[in-house]
Amino acid sequence: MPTLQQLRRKVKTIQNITHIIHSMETLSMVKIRALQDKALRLKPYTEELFRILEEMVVRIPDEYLNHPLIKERPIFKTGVLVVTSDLGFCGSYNLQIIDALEKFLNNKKSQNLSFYVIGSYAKRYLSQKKLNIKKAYFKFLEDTSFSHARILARELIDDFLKEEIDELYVIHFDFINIVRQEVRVHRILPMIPINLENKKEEFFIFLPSLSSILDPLLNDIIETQIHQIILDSAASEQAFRRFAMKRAHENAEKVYSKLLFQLNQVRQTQITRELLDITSSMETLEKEVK
Amino acid sequence: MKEDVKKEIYLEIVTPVKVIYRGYVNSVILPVEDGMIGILPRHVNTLARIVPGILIAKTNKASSYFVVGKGFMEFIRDKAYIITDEAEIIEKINLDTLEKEENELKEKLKETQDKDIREEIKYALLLNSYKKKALQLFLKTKDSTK
Repeated sequence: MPTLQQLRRKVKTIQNITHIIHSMETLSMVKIRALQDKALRLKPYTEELFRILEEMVVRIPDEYLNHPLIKERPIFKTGVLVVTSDLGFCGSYNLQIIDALEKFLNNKKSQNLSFYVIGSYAKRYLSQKKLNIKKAYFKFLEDTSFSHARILARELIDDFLKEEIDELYVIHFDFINIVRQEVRVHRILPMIPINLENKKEEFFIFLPSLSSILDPLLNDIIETQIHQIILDSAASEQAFRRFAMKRAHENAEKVYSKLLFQLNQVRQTQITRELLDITSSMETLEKEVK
Repeated sequence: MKEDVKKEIYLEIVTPVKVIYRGYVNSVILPVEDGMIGILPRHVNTLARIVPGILIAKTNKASSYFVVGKGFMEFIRDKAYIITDEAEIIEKINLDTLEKEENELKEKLKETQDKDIREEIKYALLLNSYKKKALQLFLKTKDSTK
């Protein structure tokens, strides 16, 4: 049986932990609201850009399809962008990403892979497995500004154009809504728009010219896509953290009430024992007096 | 008898932050690299790169003014989609706040040395100057209709 002192100390610790967990929960709730807004608002913009690209690609002459960002080339090196969190306390968030990564690695066993990493979790994991980490970025999910996305997108495009990678996959969380997030593995480079078969012979004019539109459009699409990925991942991370903290909070409260009960029991037995001592000694004293 | 022609364009202005405008208008005038282009219903399908400037959407009753940043415009089958990194409707802008913002931006420009940030501020200043111009235009047309 633990002593009263020990139990008191324990109860106090649990109380403190509950406070911390509770404030973390509220904090991620606030964060998630802002991030969710941003992530869901960007979606129509991204979709619109893709729609334009799709409609455009079926109408342009074939020679423009040789643009390096669109054209498929023989694949020697594969780049993989893995998005995880910097901080822990977010439930199975990182584990699910790693799970998807493992599956991906099993499928691509023979190929020459190089990794781009966001977040310290994936970096630790990949360096343990002795895989080739090309670049690692931190604190991207904390500060989700567009400038970060632009830096990352430019570096990825540069590497792709320099033929350091021949294709680029992304493994990240897709934020659908506050209770639903899914891991997505998809290829973003080279961009192969769908429905290349049904080419249309429709008259279209391009201002100022086709080549001067295509280049910024493709760059814009990748930048926005990366930004969307970062926003989605950040929002999902907060959602996971919120759920993890909520569960932890509930558990902590359970433990707290259990301990409190135990504490009261111990205290009560001590009081009873003392009372017994007093009454018995009183009785003996009375006997002696008689 | 005249052919029954469609007299409206569906216009949508989308930015990363939100969809600024969605609705039917009679004509659109927008800034491209070589100047301005006007688009009326049944215009030929067009894809254009737009540059920072003033966009005017006209309906029978009134015209609304927007300031847009860099982006693209797609016109296809009487639907115009404008995709830009920044856009604002002029009616909601106040001249005082504009000038305040401009002064703040100018001070920031003096302080920072970072090339990227300087470029961003310059871009914001450019948009700000267009907002001012558009506001003047908007007020002028408002007065003349009175």
